[in-house]
Amino acid sequence: MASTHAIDVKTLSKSFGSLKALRELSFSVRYGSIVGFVGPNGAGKTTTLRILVGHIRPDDGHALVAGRPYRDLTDPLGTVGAVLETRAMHPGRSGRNHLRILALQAGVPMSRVDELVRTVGLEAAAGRRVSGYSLGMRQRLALAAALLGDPAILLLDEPTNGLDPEGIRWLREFLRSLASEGRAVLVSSHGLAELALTVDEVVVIGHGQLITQRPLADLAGMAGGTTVQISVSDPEILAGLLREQGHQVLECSGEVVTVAGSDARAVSRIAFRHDIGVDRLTVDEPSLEEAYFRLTTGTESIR
Amino acid sequence: MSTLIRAELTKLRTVRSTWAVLLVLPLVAFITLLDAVLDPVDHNTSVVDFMDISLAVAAITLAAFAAALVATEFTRRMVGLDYLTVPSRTPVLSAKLAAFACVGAALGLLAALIAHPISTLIASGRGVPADSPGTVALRVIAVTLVIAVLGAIGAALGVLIPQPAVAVGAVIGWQFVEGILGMAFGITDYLPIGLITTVAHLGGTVALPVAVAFLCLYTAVAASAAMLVAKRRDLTG
Repeated sequence: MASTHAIDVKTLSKSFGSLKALRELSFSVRYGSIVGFVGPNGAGKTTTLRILVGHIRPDDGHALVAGRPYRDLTDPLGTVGAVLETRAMHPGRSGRNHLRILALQAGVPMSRVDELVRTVGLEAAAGRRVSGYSLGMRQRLALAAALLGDPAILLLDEPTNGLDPEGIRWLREFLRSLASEGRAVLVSSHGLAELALTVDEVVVIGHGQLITQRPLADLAGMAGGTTVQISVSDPEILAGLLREQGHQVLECSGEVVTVAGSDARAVSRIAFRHDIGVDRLTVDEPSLEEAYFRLTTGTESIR
Repeated sequence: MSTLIRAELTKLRTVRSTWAVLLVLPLVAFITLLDAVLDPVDHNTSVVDFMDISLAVAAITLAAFAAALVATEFTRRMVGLDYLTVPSRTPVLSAKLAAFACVGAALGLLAALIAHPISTLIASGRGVPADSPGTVALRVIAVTLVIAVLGAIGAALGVLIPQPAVAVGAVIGWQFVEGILGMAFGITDYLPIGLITTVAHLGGTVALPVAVAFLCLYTAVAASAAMLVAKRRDLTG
């Protein structure tokens, strides 16, 4: 772990014919953190991950893992583990043999294969042919393959696809345990909600460009602040009273008055004091999903 | 490199389709017999004439199998896992070609060991002189070499044409292309199938060493083209 950043992407550009997949994309990932790599379908997430492991050559810029281009790594599987595609396994081969072949190629002891089969919970299915695996089982097998070399950096492309809720929870806890050991995890997804409980930081991209990189907690704030929504019999009167008391009324529509801030008690007290009947009172916290949609609106798939 | 070849051979060993290729061996025996039965008035003058067709079937089957399997690795992006393990693509691709050459050699040896005794029996029944022990040994080696080379060329085709059906079509279609080229330019003996026949016959219009050299040259060209293309090919999703 000599390099400061586990992953360092700088002004990365890539075009496929007339399609600009990446436009000067830059971001970095520290060791010991789980970073969500989010954006709509076609935003350039998979292209970026493939460039990071040398599957695709960039037109410009660089993508370094552990301070080097992937092709220059002396122990690639011991440095980076990647789950890029769950169908990249021969359907007629057993899960265990799939891992054994990779272990043989990488010079990893065969005992590691059995250890990982247990770790990802595939003991019962490891001897069966992959064609009989569910998508979730393939995801687990792909994850086992990524972990073969005990890498310090993990790149995961949509790893929750096909996992049941129990599997998603297992993966979340597993990734957290990996990060707590000082490893870096970059996990891509087209939705933020599923990552919200897992990641420390997010890199949001759209149209191949960086939209933002920031801690998860900061992202929520980008959707706007907390609001109080109060449904009353005389909304116009209440809105006037609230303004008089210094509250910022954002909207007065129908029977609902929307007030900036989270002080529901103060808002309701004004209504009660002036005998205004309250039907409903809610505090609306900004969601990550809202922040995500706000950031990525207009950057939907262009492919 | 030997580790990578072992891994490639393990890949082949751990799928059923590889073992299915062995079904070509009883077919070799059957075709050798059938050829003799269907052509009772023989104009064959050597033992090898009786096994030409059956060995050609074995060779084409292996080349098509190699092309299909390697092309599938690209279609299904399985080759991406190889590139993750060994980022430099040349050793990965070399190991694939070498592994199919090994399988070809094994299949060629078995096919020769099956076809030769049957052909010798048929030949002796028709008054065609049997091969001397030295010629038998040389012929077995030649057939082994030829099918090994076709395994490697088939694998190279699979890299060049990463669509299994098209790659298999190219292997089968090549015979027609070669026929047309041979007739058009009068170079049949210097084209791959012509050279393979020459080597299996231990000589012909073209001398055996020249035929072997040309065959090696074609293999090297196919392998180099495969490396060049695969090294420049982006592995997209």
